[in-house]
Amino acid sequence: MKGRISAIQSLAAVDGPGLRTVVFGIGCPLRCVYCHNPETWTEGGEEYEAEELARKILRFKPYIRRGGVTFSGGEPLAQAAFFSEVADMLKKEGLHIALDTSGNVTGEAADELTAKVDMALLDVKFTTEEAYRKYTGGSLATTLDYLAKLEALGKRVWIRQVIVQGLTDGADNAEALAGLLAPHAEVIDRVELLPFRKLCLEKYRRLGLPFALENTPETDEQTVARAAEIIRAHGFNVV
Amino acid sequence: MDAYRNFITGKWKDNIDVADFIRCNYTPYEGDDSFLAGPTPRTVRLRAVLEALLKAEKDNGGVLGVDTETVSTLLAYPAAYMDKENEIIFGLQTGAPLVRGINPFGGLRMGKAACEAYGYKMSDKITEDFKYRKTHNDGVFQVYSDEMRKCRHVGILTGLPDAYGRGRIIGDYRRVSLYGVDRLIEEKSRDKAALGERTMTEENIRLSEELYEQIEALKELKQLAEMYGIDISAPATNLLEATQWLYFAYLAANKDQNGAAMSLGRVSTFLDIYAQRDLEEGTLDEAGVQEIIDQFVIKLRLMRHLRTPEYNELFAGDPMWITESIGGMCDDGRTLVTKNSFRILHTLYNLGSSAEPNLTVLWSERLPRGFKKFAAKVSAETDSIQYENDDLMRPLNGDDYAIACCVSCMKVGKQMQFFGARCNLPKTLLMALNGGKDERYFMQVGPAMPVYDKDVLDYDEVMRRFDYYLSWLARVYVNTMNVIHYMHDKYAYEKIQMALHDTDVDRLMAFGVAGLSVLADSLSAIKYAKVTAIRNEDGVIVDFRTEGEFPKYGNDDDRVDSIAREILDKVIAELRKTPAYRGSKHTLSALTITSNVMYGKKTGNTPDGRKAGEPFAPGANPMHNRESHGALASLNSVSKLSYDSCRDGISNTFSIVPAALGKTLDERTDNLVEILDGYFSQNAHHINVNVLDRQKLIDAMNNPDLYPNLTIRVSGYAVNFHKLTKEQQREVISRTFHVSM
Repeated sequence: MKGRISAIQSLAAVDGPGLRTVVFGIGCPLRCVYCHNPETWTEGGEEYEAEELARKILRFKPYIRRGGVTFSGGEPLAQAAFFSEVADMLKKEGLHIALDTSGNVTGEAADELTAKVDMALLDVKFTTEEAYRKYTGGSLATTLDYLAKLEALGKRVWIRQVIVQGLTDGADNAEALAGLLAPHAEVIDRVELLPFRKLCLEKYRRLGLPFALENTPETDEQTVARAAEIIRAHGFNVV
Repeated sequence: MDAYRNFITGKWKDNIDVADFIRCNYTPYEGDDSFLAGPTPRTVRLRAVLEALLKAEKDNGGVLGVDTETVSTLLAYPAAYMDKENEIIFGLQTGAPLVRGINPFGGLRMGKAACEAYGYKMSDKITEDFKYRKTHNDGVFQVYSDEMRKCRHVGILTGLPDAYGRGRIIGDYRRVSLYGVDRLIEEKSRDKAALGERTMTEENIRLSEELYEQIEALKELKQLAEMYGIDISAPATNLLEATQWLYFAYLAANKDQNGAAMSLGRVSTFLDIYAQRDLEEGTLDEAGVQEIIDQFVIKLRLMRHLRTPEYNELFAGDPMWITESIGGMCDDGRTLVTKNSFRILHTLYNLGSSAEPNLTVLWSERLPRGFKKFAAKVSAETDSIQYENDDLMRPLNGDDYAIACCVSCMKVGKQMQFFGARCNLPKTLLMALNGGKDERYFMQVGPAMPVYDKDVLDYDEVMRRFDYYLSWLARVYVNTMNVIHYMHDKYAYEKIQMALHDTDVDRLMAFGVAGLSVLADSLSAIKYAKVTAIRNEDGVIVDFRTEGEFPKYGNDDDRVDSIAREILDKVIAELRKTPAYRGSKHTLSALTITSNVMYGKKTGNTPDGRKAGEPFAPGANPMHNRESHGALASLNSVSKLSYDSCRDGISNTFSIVPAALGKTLDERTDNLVEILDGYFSQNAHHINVNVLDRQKLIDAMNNPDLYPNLTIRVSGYAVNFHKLTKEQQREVISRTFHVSM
C-alpha cells in the first residue's frame, strides 16, 4: 500500500539508540503549540509504496550495527497500516525499529504496528489532562493507556518531554512526570528532556502559519538540568 | 652495539626490504589508549618555542623570513637549532626555524615572485647563476604547443606542476634507519655497475646518470648529518637514532625539492619496532618513547616551502602534505596497528591540534576496536585526521603502501608518481556546447564545430558532443603531462628521494578531474528537467534556463549517481588512449584540494543552476546543500564511484555537527566508527571527517584570535582555518553540515 512521507533523514543519532535512519510520516492528530514539523500536519510530502520505502531504508543497513530505523512524523500511528507493511519488510532484514509517537492514536492498525516495533520513544507532552488538551488538542489519558500497552507487550520505552518556559519547566511538572512514569518504571530505559527551540520558526513563516510560542524564549540548559535532577531522584535514567 | 640485536632475521637482511623487516619484527597492539603518556617537561618547553615561532610567522603576514642569498641544497645551510637545550631531534631546513629557502630548479620566476610577494628580493647572485642553469619551467615552456598554452590559459587544465617541484614522491626514508647510508650507497653502486654492462640505450643512459646523482645525494645526506655531529653511515641502534636517521633523510628531501606534496610515508609502525626493543631493554619508558615521537612531530610542523600567492589560491593554508599513513592490516591477517599508531595520533593532544603532519588512518573493518575508537575520538575532538580504505588498497598494493599528498596510494620505495593536477569537467561540457570555444574568453581552444543550435538541450546529443571533446581534452592533457615530467626528470630530478626507491621503479601518472558533481547535476538536469540554452549576441551559449525537478548527486539516487560514475569511467578510458611518459600507468583522482574555488571562478554558468564564478564542490563531494536525505545518503552516492577507474583516489569531505552525531563523546565516537565501517564496507575510498558547527567557523572568521589553532579537514588535507583566504573561508562555511532534524 501507499503512504505519504515528508522526509527521510538517513543519519540520526539522537532518535533512539545507535545510528538510525528516521522516516518522517505525514499526518498528525495533535496540534502541539511547539510542534517542530508543522509541514507534516497536512497532506503533502511524497508518496511511497511500502516496498519502495523499505528498499530506500535498507540502503543504509551497512552503517547500522547497534541502531536501526525510527518511524517519526507527524505521527507514524496515523499511517499505522502503511508503516506496518514497511516494518514487516525491515524485520525480515533484521532491522531494529523504533516508533517516535505521542501514543494518541487508537485502533486496531495502531495496535498491530505497536506490536511489531522493538521500542517506542513516547512523548509525554504535558502532565495534566487540562494542559495536554489545551496545548496539543489530544489526551494525556490516551498517552498513558498507550504506555501501559507498551508495557504489556514488553516493549522498551524512552520517554520524552519538551521543556518550555512557563509550561513544563517547573519543579511541580517534573515531579508530576516522575509520578506518571513510576508505575511503568520497569520498561523505561531513559527519560529525555528536550529544551524548547525555535529553529522551526522559519518553517512556520514559509507555511504562512502562526507560531504560538513565537515570543517564548528558548529553554536554557540549567532549566533542563534542574528538571532532570528531580526526575533522576525518582530512579530514572535521565539524559 | 649490534644494530640488529634481538631482531628476527629475514629477507630484509640480504635485500633492501623494509616491509619484510616490519613483518618479521613488529608487535601488533590490540588494546586501548590508556597506556599513553603526556608530554615531558622538555617537550612542553619546546612546544612553547614552536608556538612563539608560529605566532611570529602569523604576525609577519604568513612568512617569518626568506634566505634570499642561498639556493637550497642538501649542504647549503650550516647546522641550525630551534632550542638546543630542549630539542632531541636535530636538523632544520635553513639557517633558522621557519625561514624559507629558495629552490629555483623547478622555476626561477616562481621563486622571484614568491620573494617579492612577501617583501623580499632574491639576490642578484642567484639570478645571475641561473642565467647559466636551465630550469624545469624553462624546458616546459620551450616545448608547450599552442593548444597546451591555450588550455592552460583558459583554465580547462589548471594547477599543472610546470613552475615548481612536482612533489608527490615518497622516499622510503626508513631505509636510512634500517640500513645506514653506506649500505644504500653500496646497493646503488652495484645497480649502476650492472647497468653499465647493458646496451647504452637512451633509457639506460638516463637511468645511469640518475643513479650517479642518487649516489652523490646519499653521500651528501651523510655529510648533512655530520654537520650536526651525527654519523648515519651505519644502521640506527635505538629509537632515538632510528627517528633521527629517518628525519635527516626527510629533511634532505625538503632541502633538495620544494615539491607540491612532500609526504612522509608509513613510518610509525616501523619506528615502533625500535620503541618496543628499547622498552624491553629498559633504556626507555613510555614517556621517553612519546617524547621522541612528539619532538619528531614538532620538527615536521616546522617544515615550509616558499610559495606564491597564486599557488596559495590553488592549495591554501601553506600545506606540505607531510602525510603519514597509520594502521591498516598486514597481509598475514594481523593488524599493523602498534602502540606507535596511537602515539603519533596522541601528538595532537600533547602538542595541540595541527594541520601537519597530515595524519591518515588506513581503515579496515578488521582494525582493533580500541584503535577505531581512539581514532574516532581524535577526529571528534580535533578535526585533524582523514581515513582511507585499507581493505580496498591492500589487495592491489600489498601491505606496505602509503598515501602521498591526500589520497594517492603507492608502494613505498617501489612506486613513484608523476603528479598531474586536474582538468575542468564542467568547462569541458560548456566547450562541447560551444564548439570548442571557451565560454569566458570566447577563444577557440578545442577543435572548431558549430555551436549547439537547438534551444532545449537534448541529452543524447549533448553527450555525443561531450564525449568528442573529452576525447580531445584527454589527449592534450596526457601530452602536456608528458612534457612536464620529461622536463622535471631532466632539470629538477628528485635525487635523494629516488635514491630511497628501488632502482627499477614502477611509475604512475596521476590525472585528476574537478567539478564532478557540477557536471553530474548538469547532465541530470539536461536529462530529467528542461534546460534551455541562453546565447549572447554572437550566438555563444553563456547561460541556461532550467525548469522542473531533476535528481541531484548526493541523495543516493541511482539516476544521477550512475552519471557521476560513468563520467569517471569515461575519463580514465580516454586518458589511457595516449601513452604516458616513461611507461607510466595512467591513474585518476577526484580531488581538488582547495582549488575548487578557483576552478569555479574560471567557469561560466552551468545547467545545474550554478552561477558563473561560484565554487565547485571539492573533490567527489556532492554540491553544497543539495543533499536532502542526510549524511548516509550522501556517503552512499560517493561510495558508488569506482575506485577501479579512480586509482589515484576519490576524496570526500564530510562535516557533521557534534549534536547530530550523538549526545556524549562516547556515543559520538561509537557512531563515527559505525559510519566509517558502513561507508568503507561499500568500497568507498576516502573521507575527511569534521565534527563541528558552522557557527564555530563563523565565530572564528570574525574573531580569529579566539581560535588560533582551529584546524579543519578540507579536501584530502587539514588546514589551519586562518590560513585560508576570506573567499575560501566563506566557501568552507557554505558547505553542507549534516545536522539532525
